Amino acid sequence: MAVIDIATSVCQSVPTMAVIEVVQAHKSYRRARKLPTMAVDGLDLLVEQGGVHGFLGPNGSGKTTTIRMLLGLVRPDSGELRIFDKAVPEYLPQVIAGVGALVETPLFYPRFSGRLNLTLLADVAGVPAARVEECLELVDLRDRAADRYKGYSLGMKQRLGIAAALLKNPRLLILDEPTNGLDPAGIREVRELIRRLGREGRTTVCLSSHLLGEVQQVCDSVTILSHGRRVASGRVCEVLSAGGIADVRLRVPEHVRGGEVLVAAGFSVTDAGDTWLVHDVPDAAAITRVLADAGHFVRELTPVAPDLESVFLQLTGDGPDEKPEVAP
Amino acid sequence: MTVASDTAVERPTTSPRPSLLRAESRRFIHRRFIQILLAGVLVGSATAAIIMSFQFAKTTPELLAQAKQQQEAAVAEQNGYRADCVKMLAPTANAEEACGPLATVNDYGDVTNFLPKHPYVFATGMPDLAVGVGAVVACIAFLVGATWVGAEWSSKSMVALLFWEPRRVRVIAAKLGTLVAAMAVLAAVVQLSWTAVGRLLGSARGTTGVPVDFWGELLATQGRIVLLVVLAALAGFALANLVRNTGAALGIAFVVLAMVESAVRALEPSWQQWLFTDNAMALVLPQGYTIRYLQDTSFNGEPTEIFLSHWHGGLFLGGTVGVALILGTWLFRRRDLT
Repeated sequence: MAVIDIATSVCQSVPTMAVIEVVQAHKSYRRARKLPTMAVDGLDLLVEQGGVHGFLGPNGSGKTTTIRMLLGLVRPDSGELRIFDKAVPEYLPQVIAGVGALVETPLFYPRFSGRLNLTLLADVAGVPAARVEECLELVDLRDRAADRYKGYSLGMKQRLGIAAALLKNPRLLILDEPTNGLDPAGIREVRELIRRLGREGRTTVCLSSHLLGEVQQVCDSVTILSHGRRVASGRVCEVLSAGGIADVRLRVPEHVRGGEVLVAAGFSVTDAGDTWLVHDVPDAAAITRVLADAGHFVRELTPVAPDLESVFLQLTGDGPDEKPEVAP
Repeated sequence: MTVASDTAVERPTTSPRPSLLRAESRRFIHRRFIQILLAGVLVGSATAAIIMSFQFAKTTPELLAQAKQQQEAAVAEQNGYRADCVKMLAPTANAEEACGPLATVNDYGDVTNFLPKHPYVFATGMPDLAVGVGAVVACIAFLVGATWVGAEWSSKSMVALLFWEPRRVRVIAAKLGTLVAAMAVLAAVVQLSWTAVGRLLGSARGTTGVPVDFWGELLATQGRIVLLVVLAALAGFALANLVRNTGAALGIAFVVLAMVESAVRALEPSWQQWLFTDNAMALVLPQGYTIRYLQDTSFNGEPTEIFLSHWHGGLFLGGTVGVALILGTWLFRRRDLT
């Protein structure tokens, strides 16, 4: 599978330092009486400082394993991993103070209150108690902070996980599926929070998600994974344009006849009711020329912007597990 | 969610020092199960002390005189039965052989046996009390140790903690340090409290006089009891850390202590010197522990004796717990946590 790698970017303003760098990482899991499962297979990844970087791939594509390798929970079989230019897991203790993470489900003591759970983590990191209250406020949990964690709804648990990830005021925030279990309002708020953190520039957010819409809405850059490998990476706008999809929506007075002219001229078209979708058009002027020569005049000619889903499907040949999502 | 807040990106100006030990101590204090266990120790101790206070009574001259009378009455009664027996004998019969010798007060032991309640003798009762209380606290310590790390695995909080302190050995060391300190303090406080209870019982319901070297020996025994409690807590921790589950750790402990050890005692008694309970007794009992068993299966002949010293008990228990802890920590350091 070809890798689309946008090295020189028109969207990119200034070159910045790498916050995360992964070179040729491999990880397989060995299980009793079963063949090893290759979770990450020669992955290369570069996340530059600032903004929000999406880590996109279907379930089982190696996103969470990569995050676990970066956080020292899982040992890579081979390859190099670096955070803030320090090799991990060797130098992880030196950089962990600047890294906040929420990996899959938040993990807290079920019988302790939300506040006590955060206080325990604050003790470990040397974070003042006032910061615990700030983070609880930030995720709108201050009123329920004294309640036991096990009594929280799924969304509240997720929000407490985000509060914990923010507790250290991290330079790098790694969020693995942070909107899992949240209601539409919660999803919107988390996405706004992520966008704001990315915009402010101090925190680089690495957002792992299998939700294409989420990545497209929130992220500045994206790495697409499939079967443990990178299949595309770069600024979102570039990945979209490099996907090779350039469709044009066309409306002509004589709908059927206009379509026939285009097909006769070698264009690939799809009937979309009262319009035609003309595929893979390198230059829209070619359409108007062909139609004008045949005596047809264009009423509408609209470039159809490619979406990440189309690019994703094209790159991975694999449908993501897009859950029905209520758009915020 | 208050997305408009700007506080998220402001770094605090003054921060406390990062401290895993502080976090672990706070968690220990807040754990409901541990709070319940400690409350149980407190309530159980108070109840036992109250019950004991009703079982003993101070001896007075009046009570002693009463006891003496009862003792003499018992002797007289016995000799009355003997006289009836002698009357029924043939003249040629030997009365001594047929009806036994004349009873004396010496046959009925000490006069205090006829007191309604015994006095509490602090000098002889306290070491036994210390060992008994120590055994109960050691069982509780095992439970605390197992649940202390078992709860971490069941809630997966152990993994979450590694986002904050990735040095796994440090994480385990902080948990062990907290456990050891808490259990040592608990055992010492319980021993101190029961020494005070014993002393109070002695002064209110018995005697408090002690031999010259009493306090030194008692302190040494209590010190070894504190060590046993700490080792029991570490054993619970090590086992639960190996199997990553509190229930499984308790199940294994039950199988080993109740079933395997009983089987060893019945089938291969010479191996008793390598059993946990025998070594625990060797560690804490003031004179060590002597195992006695008959090698002859017909139960004839002299029993074989194996003496287990304090050192034997301490080294065996400490060594076993140490190996389990090192193995658990090594596995934790190497394991992928998914």
